[in-house]
Amino acid sequence: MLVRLTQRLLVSLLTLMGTAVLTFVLVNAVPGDVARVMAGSKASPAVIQEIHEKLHLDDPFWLRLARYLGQVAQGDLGRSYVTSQSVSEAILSRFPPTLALATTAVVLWMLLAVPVGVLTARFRGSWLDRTILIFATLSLSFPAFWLARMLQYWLSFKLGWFPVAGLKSFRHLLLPGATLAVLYVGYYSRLIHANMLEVLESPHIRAARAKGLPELPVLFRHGLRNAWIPVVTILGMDVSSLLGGVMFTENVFALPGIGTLAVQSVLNLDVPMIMGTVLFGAAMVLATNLLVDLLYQWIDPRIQTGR
Amino acid sequence: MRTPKMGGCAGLRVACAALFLLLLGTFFTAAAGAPKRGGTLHLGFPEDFKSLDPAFGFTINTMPVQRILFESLLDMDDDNQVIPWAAREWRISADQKTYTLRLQPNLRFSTGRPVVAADYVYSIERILDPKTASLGQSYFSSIRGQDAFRKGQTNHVAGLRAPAPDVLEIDLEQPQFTFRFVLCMVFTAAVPREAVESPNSRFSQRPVGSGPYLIKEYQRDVGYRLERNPHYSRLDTAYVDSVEIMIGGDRTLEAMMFDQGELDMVPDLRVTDYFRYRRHPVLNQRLVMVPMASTDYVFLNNEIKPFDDVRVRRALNHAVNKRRLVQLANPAFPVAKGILPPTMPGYDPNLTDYAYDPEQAKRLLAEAGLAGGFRTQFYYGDSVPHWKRLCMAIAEDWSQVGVHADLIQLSAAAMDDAYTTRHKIPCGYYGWVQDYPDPSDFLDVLLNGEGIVETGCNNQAFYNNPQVNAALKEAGNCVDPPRRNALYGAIEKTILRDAPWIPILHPLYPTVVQPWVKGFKPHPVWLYRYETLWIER
Repeated sequence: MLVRLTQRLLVSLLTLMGTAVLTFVLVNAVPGDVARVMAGSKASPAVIQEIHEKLHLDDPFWLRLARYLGQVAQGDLGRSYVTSQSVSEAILSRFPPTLALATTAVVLWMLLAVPVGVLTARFRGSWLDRTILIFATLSLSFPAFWLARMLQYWLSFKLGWFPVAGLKSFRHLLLPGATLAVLYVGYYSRLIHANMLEVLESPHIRAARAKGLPELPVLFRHGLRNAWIPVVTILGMDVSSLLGGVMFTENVFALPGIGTLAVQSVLNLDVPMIMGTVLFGAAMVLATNLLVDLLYQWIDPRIQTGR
Repeated sequence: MRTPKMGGCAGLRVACAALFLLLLGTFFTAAAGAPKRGGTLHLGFPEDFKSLDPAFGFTINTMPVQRILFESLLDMDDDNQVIPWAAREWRISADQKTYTLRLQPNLRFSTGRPVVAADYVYSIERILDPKTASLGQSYFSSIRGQDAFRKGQTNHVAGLRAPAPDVLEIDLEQPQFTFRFVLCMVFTAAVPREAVESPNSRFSQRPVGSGPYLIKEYQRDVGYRLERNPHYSRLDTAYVDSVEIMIGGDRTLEAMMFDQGELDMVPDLRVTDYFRYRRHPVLNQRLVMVPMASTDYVFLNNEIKPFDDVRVRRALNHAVNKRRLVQLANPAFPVAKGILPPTMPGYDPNLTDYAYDPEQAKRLLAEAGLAGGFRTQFYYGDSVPHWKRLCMAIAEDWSQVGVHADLIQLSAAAMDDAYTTRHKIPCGYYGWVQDYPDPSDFLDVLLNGEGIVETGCNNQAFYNNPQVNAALKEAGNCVDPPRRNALYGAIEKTILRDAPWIPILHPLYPTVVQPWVKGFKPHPVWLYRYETLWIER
């Protein structure tokens, strides 16, 4: 177990390094002069030159890359070109709102998706199943920015049920969380539905029913547990991408999370901050994948022992 | 001559009349609503300020906030006239080369420390120091000895002196009429050396100034809470007790929060929100169009064929239907006939514009040997929402006369770089906002051929007319405002005849202000002055 974990960690580090190199190459390929963005269109050539010197922007590409990788290897993500803030500090200060939003959203959509997925599998082909299928298709089709703005306009602005924007209390998270939940609930309910259909046909379910177990324990204890593994895999990937920042939703609801930070850093061509947010997102994906692997073993111990 | 002596009875009559006028004045002031102190002003901005340090942050959003945290040496009134501010008196020597400024008594930083003239010397030297890389550097390039200081040959700028704690003297290399406007910019605000150089001060985000407010609370990308500077002594300004600034979202979100009463003012409304307010019978009372002394234009690169031919440039001017463009941007924006915006001294409302005349455009193109038209690349930046719409419409207008423009959108970063590099872009769309109310800020900065350099060139059209260059020099040296404006007026006409630009429109800032916010009056340079506002619910 320990060896496997160590191997996974090493591979993760290499992946992070690869991500860093690739992102650095791409960011530096973007046309435009970061000094101009920082100084504004009215800055004199002398000021632009001074910024170039201050940030070593005229150094050869490989030297800047080597310097950056050396810095990252020491755990230093550098300082923002625009605000001079430490990148690590900026990311850490933005992580709690993103984590809170992601948690709220996951809880909301799973609370809905699990019973809906199980029940539509149990009553396959019924009017309930067909109606849910229509809603699931709609939920999958909504563009995030449109849905966020619509919910904000109608539920917050027109009806006043939720705060319009900002993050002052848990209430401020409900609507952004619900927005994400609407976007994901359709997919997860269908995913659980599909897996449950397969599981409900398996011999152990028939055996449980034959033994006279009530239907709810059959569905949720014996059925859902076996349908859970593919769901956990996908959930892990989705959670990791949410933790890396939810750009549209955070921007519409003015939540100071990783997503808004990433958008701002791209608009400002703030290279250290772009690198930082991308690496953080990558680290989240790697960490969540590791966690999902561990969860598999808890859900189905045969995975660990190879039975 | 003897002064006639006033009789006792007459004196009494005068005293009674004076008392009556005083009472009348008091009555009208009260009726108009005298400023009230107290309350909180709620503002919102889509993104956090890059910096509030007066050496940086030179943007439309940042300046009004900086102006309540700091005090520049001088200020400008509603008529663009220079007035005292941190300096209670200012004098220019007969040779126009030395400025003497006497500071207000009781000026103090928010830390309580008195502000002295040496603080201004330090602050301006800090801006000139290459290590600071301040955007304000070029505005002080006429100060005597700045060059040696910048090159590290001296430790101090010879032309900056503090002969007494309340006296600041600034020597210029040569007379510069616009230096009085530079002294109004927030770059001239005093900053305390001990706070700037303290390793833990984070001065760019939590700067210390001598303005009416200080930053009490700050959370990056979330918001600011500004409260009164307890050491600020002036009573005729800064009426609200605190200012709360929310960061995040966008202007549409802010408009929703405005409707719910959570924000007191929203500037730079999106066009959809602008129409919503304009059409609303009640909310339209809250809509104010704030002039921003700006001109949007298409520049035609005079060094790249076929724009090196004046007939082609004139043809493209004739081909553009500006009235339709304004409808697409915002119908409230004035059409630009010339280069200078309407609030700029020297603006001529009677300028003759190139009429929209596609047939004339075709004739001119035929004269230039381009009867079959030509193909070009037309660039624009993605930073202003309406630019894309306008550029598409302009390209469509040009196509009617046979000119096919391939539209190329650039990020703000790429745009500034590409526009200011020689021989790179045939034509592009841009907007320029004034730094100070003087025609030189447009004509000299943007269209002086002597300022052409290979990179970082503000003359994006690379327009170079020696006659205009000489006239710009003459106008720049003129210190008599009416004559100066007349000279610049003549220069503008010459430039328009040469047609290096197609002036399109003068953008305005549609702004909504709550009915309980009093004292709001757009300023021709600063646009918003939070220090003049008070709350009356």
